[in-house]
Amino acid sequence: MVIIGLLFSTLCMAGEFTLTEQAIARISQEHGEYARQRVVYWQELIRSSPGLSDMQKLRRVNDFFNAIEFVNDIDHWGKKDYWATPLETLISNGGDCEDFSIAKYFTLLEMGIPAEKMRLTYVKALRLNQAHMVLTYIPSAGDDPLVLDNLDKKISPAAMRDDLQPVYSFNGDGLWLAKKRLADSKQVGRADRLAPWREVIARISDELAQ
Amino acid sequence: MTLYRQLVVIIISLFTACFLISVTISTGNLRSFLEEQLASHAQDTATSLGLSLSPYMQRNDTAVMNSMVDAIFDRGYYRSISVIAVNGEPLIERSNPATSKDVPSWFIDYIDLRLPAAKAMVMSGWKQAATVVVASHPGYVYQELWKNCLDSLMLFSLTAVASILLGILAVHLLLKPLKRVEEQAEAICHQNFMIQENLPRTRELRRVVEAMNRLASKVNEIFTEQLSTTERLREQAYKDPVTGLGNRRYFDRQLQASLESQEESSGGAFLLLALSRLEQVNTASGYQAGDILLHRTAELIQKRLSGFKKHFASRLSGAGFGIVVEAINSREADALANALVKDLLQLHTENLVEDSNIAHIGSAMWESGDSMSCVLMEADNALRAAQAMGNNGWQRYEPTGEAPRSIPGAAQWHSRLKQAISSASATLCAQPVLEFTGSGDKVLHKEIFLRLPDGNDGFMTAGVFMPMAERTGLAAGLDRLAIGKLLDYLSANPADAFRYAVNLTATSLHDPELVEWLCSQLQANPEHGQRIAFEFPESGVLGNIPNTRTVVDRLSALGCNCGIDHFGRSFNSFGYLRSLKVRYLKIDGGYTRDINRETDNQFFVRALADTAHSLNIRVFTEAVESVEELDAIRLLNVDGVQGYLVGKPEFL
Repeated sequence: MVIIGLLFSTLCMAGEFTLTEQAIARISQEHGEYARQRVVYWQELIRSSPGLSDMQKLRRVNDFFNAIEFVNDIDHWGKKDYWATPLETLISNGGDCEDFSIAKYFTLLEMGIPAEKMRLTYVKALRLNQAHMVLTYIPSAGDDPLVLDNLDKKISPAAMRDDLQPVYSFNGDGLWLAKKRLADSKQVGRADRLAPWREVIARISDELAQ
Repeated sequence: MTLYRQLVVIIISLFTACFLISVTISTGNLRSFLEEQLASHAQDTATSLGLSLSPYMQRNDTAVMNSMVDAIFDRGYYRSISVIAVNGEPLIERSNPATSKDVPSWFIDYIDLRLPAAKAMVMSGWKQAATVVVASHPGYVYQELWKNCLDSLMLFSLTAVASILLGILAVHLLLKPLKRVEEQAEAICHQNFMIQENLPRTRELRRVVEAMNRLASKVNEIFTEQLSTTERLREQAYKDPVTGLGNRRYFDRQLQASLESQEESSGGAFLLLALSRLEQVNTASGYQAGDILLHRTAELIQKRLSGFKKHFASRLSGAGFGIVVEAINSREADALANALVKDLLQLHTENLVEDSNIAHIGSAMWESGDSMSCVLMEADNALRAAQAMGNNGWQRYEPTGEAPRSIPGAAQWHSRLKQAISSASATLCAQPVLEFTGSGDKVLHKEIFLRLPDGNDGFMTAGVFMPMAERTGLAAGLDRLAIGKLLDYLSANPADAFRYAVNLTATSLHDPELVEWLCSQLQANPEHGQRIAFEFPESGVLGNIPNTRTVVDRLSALGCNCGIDHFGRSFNSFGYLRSLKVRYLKIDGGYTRDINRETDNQFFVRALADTAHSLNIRVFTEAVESVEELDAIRLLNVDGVQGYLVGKPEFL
């Protein structure tokens, strides 16, 4: 599965998150028809988003990714804490809470949701007594956020999710800009020293740079 | 510009360039690294502070939040930490604007670090309540960068200085052989053919030194060949190979020159010696035995003659020898003839001749101005008379009908000369010497001759009294007199622009007291030194070459030129010329006689002139008396002439 990550760097991509015909054909060759189908659906999802309202976008993306099976990183990727790119998650048809949150975040970003309205939030899942991550959406400044989760597949306001205790939140936009700077300054080679967040950004930027 | 300076300039330029490049690169790299460190440090602090503050924000516990910010701020090195509410209201602010003191402001301006403030969210539950903004202090970074620059500068400067010193040392060592090559070349110009023994290790330099050594050896070879060629030419022309004495031609020249020179000699004796039994020895024992006989005879003659000052002996023909001794009277000539026949008896005891009748001698006295054929005929007559007398007889020609000349004895001469010296009653004469220059003939110098009053309102030439002075030990005194007179003349006539040449006799040359006196006189009158040249007779030089060398060096150091007179009269090798720093030679008048007809003479003079020139010695010919001789001499690469044709001695 780790190999998939490496293979992605050889894919040709035109534009952000838009795969070329050749790339899709290769995915089909290397990972099978189902993988290809999932990727094609995802592309279609993004393409058909203009004109939709924010809520519609949120629901579609949430539902799309929640269909993927939850698998632990160690079982799925053989590594303890591996943050997969959206493509990796789709093709491998599995991911953990971070993978879901990342995939939803970048897809919504691609669909036009402003980065300031989204947060990646570290929470404690009270019922499972576990660390967990969710994506939150803030309709406008000061409002109560909406939670996009894979444990509870429905989007609900944060106040209603009393099974989650918020710990800390990431605002991805500074880091997304940082990703751009990383891509420009060619620092992607130093993935071993970066936090997982930076690393996934680096790999995404790798995918985009090819 | 010297090599050293070029080296220093190159090294300094190189090191400065390296330093600038290096410092720019390292500062750039260090700056990027430290900027990233600052940014990451700020971001980490912001993130952890945001995380830590969030629970207390939810509870609105400002006291704890302030405490937390203080804890972080005080412990770290920050420019500012602020917590700003989402509505823009600043909740907590800490700042430390202090700048780094040790770093110059121009450097800070130049480096201009990017110092974005790091931000993190402070959550209150699900919502963001505030933003924490952390700015790291750049002071440490500037200090590190500045220190880096200074350290680089120090390192480069030290290395540059060390390199320069090493470079200078290396160049100095490498160039030593070149300096020696330079000295070698100089030495070759002064006929000193030294070879460099220590070859440098550097290949290019070694090749130069080896080439120089080869050159020195080659030039040395050429010189030696040239000298020996010249000597051979002379030998072929003038030396009798069997006896080593001069041949007939030599004899004629020398006798003629003596008869004609008034300054050198006034008279003497001529002895004609004939071996009686040479024919028989040749027939009986072969020509080789005959040669041995002749050779031994010559040896004995020369041994007997060695007691006299001015003499020469030649082989005239078959069994005949001609002996000329100057400045002796008839009594002494008779004693000489007697001694010679006694000496030759040895030939019988040595079994070179069977018969006890060895040889006969006929002698005649001559004076300056006599004709040579007269002298020869007189001696010949005397020889016939001697042969008629019996075994080993000798006779001197007595002119009939003339009153015997009163010849003053040695004692009389001594007192006369002493008186002349003490009363300083002498006058000087000068004879010009011409040199051939590109723009016509010019006077090189005037040669000085002493004249003493003869007691009859006339003057005696040096040829008359000098030989007697040498015999009576007063030559040094007369030379001193002449030199003193010349110095007085020069002091009295500062407008006279000519240079003057003075003769020193052989005895004076090797008289340390006289030399000392002379040097002190010259030192006392340094302006005259440049205008005086000293000439030494060849026989004097050959008598003691090392001492001559010393005297020549001393006089040269005082600005005087030195020359050798009567050069070529003896058959010595010329090799000593290479180490004697004389400026010119005057070739003996014997070679000048009829030089326009004598091709052998011409060859010899020409070869001698070429050889002398390559030793930086100029060559002049004496006793030039006809225009034909002068014209011939002009073609021989000679530097000038002296003689009655070009000028007679005149009173100063």
